[in-house]
Amino acid sequence: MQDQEQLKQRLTEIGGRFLRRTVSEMQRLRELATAVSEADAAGVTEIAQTAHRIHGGGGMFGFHSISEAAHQLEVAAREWMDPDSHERSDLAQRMEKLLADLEQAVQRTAQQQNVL
Amino acid sequence: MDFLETTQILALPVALLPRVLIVDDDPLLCERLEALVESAGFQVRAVSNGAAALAALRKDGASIVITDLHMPDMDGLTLCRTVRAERFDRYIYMVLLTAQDAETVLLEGLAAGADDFVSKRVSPAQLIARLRTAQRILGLEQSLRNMIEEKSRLATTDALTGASNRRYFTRHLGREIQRSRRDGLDVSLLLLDIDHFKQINDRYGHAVGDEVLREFARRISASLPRKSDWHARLGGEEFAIVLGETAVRDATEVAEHVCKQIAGTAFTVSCGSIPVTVSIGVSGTEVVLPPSEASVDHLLEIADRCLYASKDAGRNRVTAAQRHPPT
Repeated sequence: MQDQEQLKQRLTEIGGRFLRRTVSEMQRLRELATAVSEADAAGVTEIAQTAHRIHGGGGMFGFHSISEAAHQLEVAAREWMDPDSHERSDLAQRMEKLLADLEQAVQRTAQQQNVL
Repeated sequence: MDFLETTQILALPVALLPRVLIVDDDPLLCERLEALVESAGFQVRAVSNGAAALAALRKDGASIVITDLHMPDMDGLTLCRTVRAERFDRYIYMVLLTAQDAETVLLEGLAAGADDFVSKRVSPAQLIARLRTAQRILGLEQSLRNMIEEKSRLATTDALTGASNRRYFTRHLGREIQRSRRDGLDVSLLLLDIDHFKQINDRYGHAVGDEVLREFARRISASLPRKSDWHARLGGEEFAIVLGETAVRDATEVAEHVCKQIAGTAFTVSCGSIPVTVSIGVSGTEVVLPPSEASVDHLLEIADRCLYASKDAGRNRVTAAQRHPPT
């Protein structure tokens, strides 16, 4: 039983570090947000990769709202990267909204977990 | 092997809990997985990419691999395919870990050789349950390996004396002859036949005859000078000793020694003690001309002729082949 308690504490501690890292990744994502309007493919690729990592990690650490919001952002970024994409201007607007959603999810979870 | 023996072997405990290798480019995910897997009692190690995983598998091995799908350099699918293409000593149970659960991704993963496919959202309890499944399957593989090993041992062992049997003798002497031809070294063969064994059986019964055979096998085994020397029971009261890298002259000395070890002290059996002697014939690759002609049958034929020369000359003695074997 004590082992179970120790394991739980350890997982919470690693989860806390994941959240803190995600908070700092949000800063980078905000910097990259202009990449969409500037049609900077490398910037959008980085958004997709970062969102993908947050999606997977969020799922594993049980932060499902973060994971889901990151997934939506990743899907939109990949859609933008698709050479056949015709709706880049719409996507730019959508991604701004998705980024804000993700930020909100991260803030809320971080507050719930007391890591800020 | 009967049913009972089979179930006993299947129930053998796996000596060690399987070792788990975690492959993920995100160090925090690795850390979480390590903590979880370790808490279930597995030995665990984590690396950050496919190439490092392969290196770890080749060097230290692991029974279970939990790998991320998307990684820089070598991704999870390539890792699965490479592990399946490479011949490892034991089966490696591959678990793909992914954020996506699209059907196409799943099918691709299974086609690449993954045994299981786990979402990153998997609960700790489910992840451990899936590792237990892996452990059960690996345990089955291990018990099958044990059974095959045991069966092959039984198939090459003489049940009465525990010595190797004729099947083993033929196969392994063949290999030794081939090796000797390649390396230009001699192999010698001693053929042994217990003198008047039929009289022992007739006088004391087969049970005592069996005791004599067992003691005989024990004594010749104890007389072998080197670890690489070996003996076999060819049938009835006929035995063979194979001495690698040994010329006929040195093999003859070994034969003389064995002869003395048998005759020197009477055999103690359940009904008292019985004097036993042995006749021996010695042959070797060097007496076969040309040496490239040497074969199991050839060496046996020459040793057999020498053995009968020993019998004809009054038993309890050694006859060694000359370069031109006695006709």
